[in-house]
Amino acid sequence: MLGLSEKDREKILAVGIGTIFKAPIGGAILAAEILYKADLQVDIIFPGLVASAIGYSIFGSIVGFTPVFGFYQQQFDPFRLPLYAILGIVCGIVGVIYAKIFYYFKDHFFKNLKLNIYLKPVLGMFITGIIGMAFPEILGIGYGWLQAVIDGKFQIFNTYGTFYIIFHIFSFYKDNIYIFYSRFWSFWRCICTSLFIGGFLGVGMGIVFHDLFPSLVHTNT
Amino acid sequence: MLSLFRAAGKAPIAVTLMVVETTGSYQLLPACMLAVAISYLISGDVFIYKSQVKIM
Repeated sequence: MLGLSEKDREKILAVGIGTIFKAPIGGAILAAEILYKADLQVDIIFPGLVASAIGYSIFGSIVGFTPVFGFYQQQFDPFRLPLYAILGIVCGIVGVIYAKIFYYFKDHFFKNLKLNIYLKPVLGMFITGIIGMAFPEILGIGYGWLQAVIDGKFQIFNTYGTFYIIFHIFSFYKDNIYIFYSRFWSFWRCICTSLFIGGFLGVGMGIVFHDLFPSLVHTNT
Repeated sequence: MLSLFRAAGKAPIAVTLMVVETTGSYQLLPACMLAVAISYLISGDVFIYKSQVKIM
């Protein structure tokens, strides 16, 4: 559109993410990191820093400069570190499952489906809608729900059984919605989904840890 | 302690920084570094963005 090369467009996209989350440094590093599996593109970092700083200033002056997910108030406690290690293990496993499910549906299920190409998204939306009737959390981008969970406002959720199970089920349902959207797949949606799954997973784990070690982990995190 | 974001995107440093920035709390940094590093190692070769290039 602006007469830029493909590479420049990728850079802009990644920097924009940092702006939206009000995370200027994170955005700049993300721009450099996201293009490679195990590498950094150093020459993106400096333009990325400048772009992120400007983007953050403009975005923040309109919507305010408070962090996206509020302030975390508690003190650091080294005894919690093993719990974070467990959380890391679980997140890694879930990340693998997420990617596998996503690409199974995208590359096998929908590709081999004998349907008109215009009907495939309709089918996906239909399935998504049915899931959404039972679990409205999965519809939309999900930041509101994520914030509610982080604040511990569980009463706005309909309760289906115990929290632990539900949190993890939610995570996978959220996968589904984006699987079914995958005809309209985009980088941005993928980030939102990952955040949503990560957030729910983190809260679920937090509750489990709170029950196991009440003195170490407080609920109102 | 909740907002551990994904490592499947294969951008561990950026995610660590973003957790600190979006929650406005530096006391999360060591815990977050640990969790992100472990999940990055565990997720191994699986990734969500197929267009990422591997340069080794």
